[in-house]
Amino acid sequence: MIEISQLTKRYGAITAINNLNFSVKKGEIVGFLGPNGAGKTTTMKIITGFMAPTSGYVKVAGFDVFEDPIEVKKRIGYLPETPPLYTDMLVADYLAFVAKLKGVSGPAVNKGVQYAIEKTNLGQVQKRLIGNLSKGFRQRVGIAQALVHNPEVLILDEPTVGLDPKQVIEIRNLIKELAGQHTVILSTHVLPEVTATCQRIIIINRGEIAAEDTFEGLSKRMSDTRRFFVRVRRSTEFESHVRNLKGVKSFRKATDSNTYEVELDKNDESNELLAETVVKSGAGLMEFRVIDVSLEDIFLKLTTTDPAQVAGGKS
Amino acid sequence: MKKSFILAAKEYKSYFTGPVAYVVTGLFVFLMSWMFFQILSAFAQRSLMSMMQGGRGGLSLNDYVFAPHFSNVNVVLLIMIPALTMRLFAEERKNRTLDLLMTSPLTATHIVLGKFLAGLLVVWTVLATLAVYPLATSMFGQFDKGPILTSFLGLGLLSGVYVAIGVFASSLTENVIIAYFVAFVIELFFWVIGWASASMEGAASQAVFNYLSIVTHFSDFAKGMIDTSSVIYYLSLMFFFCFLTHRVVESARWR
Repeated sequence: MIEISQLTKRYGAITAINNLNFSVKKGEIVGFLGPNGAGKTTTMKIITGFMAPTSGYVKVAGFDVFEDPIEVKKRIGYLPETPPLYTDMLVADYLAFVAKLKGVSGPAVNKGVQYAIEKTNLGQVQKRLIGNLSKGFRQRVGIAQALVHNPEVLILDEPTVGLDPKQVIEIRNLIKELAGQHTVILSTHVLPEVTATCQRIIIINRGEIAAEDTFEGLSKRMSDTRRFFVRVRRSTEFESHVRNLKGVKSFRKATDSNTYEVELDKNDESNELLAETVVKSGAGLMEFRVIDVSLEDIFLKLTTTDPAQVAGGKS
Repeated sequence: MKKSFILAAKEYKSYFTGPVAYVVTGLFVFLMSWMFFQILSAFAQRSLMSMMQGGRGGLSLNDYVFAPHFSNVNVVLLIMIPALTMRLFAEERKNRTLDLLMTSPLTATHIVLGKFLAGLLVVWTVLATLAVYPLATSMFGQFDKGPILTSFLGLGLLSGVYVAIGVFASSLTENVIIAYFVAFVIELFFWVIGWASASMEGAASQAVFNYLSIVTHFSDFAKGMIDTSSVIYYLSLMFFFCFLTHRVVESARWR
C-alpha cells in the first residue's frame, strides 16, 4: 500500500532523514517510533505530499506522491502534530468542509461526518464551536477530520497526545478497529502505545531506520540474554550459590530484600542449571520467572547505541 | 473550480461568523456617510452661491459630489482591504491549518483562487453599501447614472487588484501585521508609481509610468469611460499577484 524507497530529506546542511526504505501492506498498522527530532514527522509529511523529498520516492496505492499528488491525497487521512482546526467553525461544519475538500460530494458528505463523529465519540459536541473545546476534544476532532472521507491510508502523528487515560484507550481501540479496512501509520514516543496498537514497529533514529519488526520479533532479536526474576526466603545461601554459576551474565539484588534479577546466557542448559541450583541451594525458592524485555529497553538500546551497528543486524 | 468555491464559501462564511465583516462594514458605512455628507453640504453651498451670482445653477452632481466621493472610497479601500485580506494565508500558517489544505487533493491554483474569491466577495459585499448614496441622492437631485455605474465597475476591478495584492502579502508570512503592512505598501506604490512620469524625459517612458499608475486608470472610470486598456490593466495586475501567490504556496513544499 505504501512503498518508500531511498527517501532522503535535507534542510540545508541538516539531513533530516537519510535513505529510508520500508513498505506497509494493506490493512497493516505500523508504529513509527523514535526520539524527538528523529525524522518521524518529516517522513509523514513527505508521505502525505505536504513536502517534497530531496531524493527517493514514495508510492501510495501505486501512485507516486510526486507525480500524482491529487490521487494520493484523496486516499490519505492525515492528522498532523497540531490538529488543523478552524477555531471559528462548528465541529460538524468543519468535518463537512474537510470531507468536501477531500473530494466527497452529495449525501456522502453527511454520511462521512456522521461516521467520523460516531467513531471518535464527538456526538455531544458536534454543534459546538471548535474554539471552545478542550484539548482532548480538539484532538478527537483532529482524528475525526482524518477519518471523514474514509481514506485507505491513515497517517497519524501522535494521535493520543493530550487525551485523558480513558480516551487514550478509546482511541487505541479505535485505531485497532481500523486495521484491515484502513492502512495506518502512527508515530509516537509513548512506547506502550505501539505495543498496544501496532502490528509492526519501525524504530527510527537520526533519520535512519534503526529496526523494523514485529514487537515479538524485536524483543527476541534484541536479547541475546534472558533475564529472570527470582525471590527467595534466605538470601545468603542464594547469593553464594548463584553468583559464580556458569552462564550467569549479571546478578543484581533488587532494592527490597531477597529478590534478584539474574541475567543468563540465552540457552536452555543455563536456564535449567540455574533452576536446579536455586532449588538445591536451600535458599527457599518463592518465585522464579522470565522478565519480558520491555519496549523501553529495546528503544533505549537502539537509540542510544550506534545505529549502524544495530541496523547491520537486521535482515 | 468547484474546490476553489468550497474553500471560498468557507472563507466567506467565516468573515460573517466572526465580527470582522460587521465591524469593517459598519465603520466603512459610518466613514463614507460622514464624508458624503460633508461633500454634499459643500456642494449645496456652492450651488447656492453660484445661483446668487446669477449663474444658471444646477452644478453637476457627478463632477462635484460623486467624483470626489468615489476617489475618497478609493483611498479608504487602500487602507481597508489589507485589513480584510491579511489573515487569509497568514492565519492558516500560524494555526497550522495550511497543513490541511496542502494535504488535501487541491492544487495550489485551487487554494489561491479560493482565497482570492473569498476576499473579493467580502470586499464587494462591503462596496454594495455604497449604492445607498446615489439611490438617496436620486430622490431629490438629477444626475447622470452612467458615470456612477462605471465608477462601480472601476471600484470592483480596483478592489480586485487590492485583494490580489493583499492575498499575496498574506501568503508571505504568518504575521498578520507584516501581511497588512506589506500589502499596504505595495498598493500605495502602485498609486504613486505614476509620479515618476513627471521626472522622466521622453514621451514613451512617461506614458509607461502613467499607464502603471492605479489612479490614472481609475479616473477614466470615474469620468464614465470604460477603457479596455484600463480593464486589461486591472485584470493583469490581479493575475500577476495571484500568480506570485501561487508560486509562494507551491514553494512551501520545497522548504
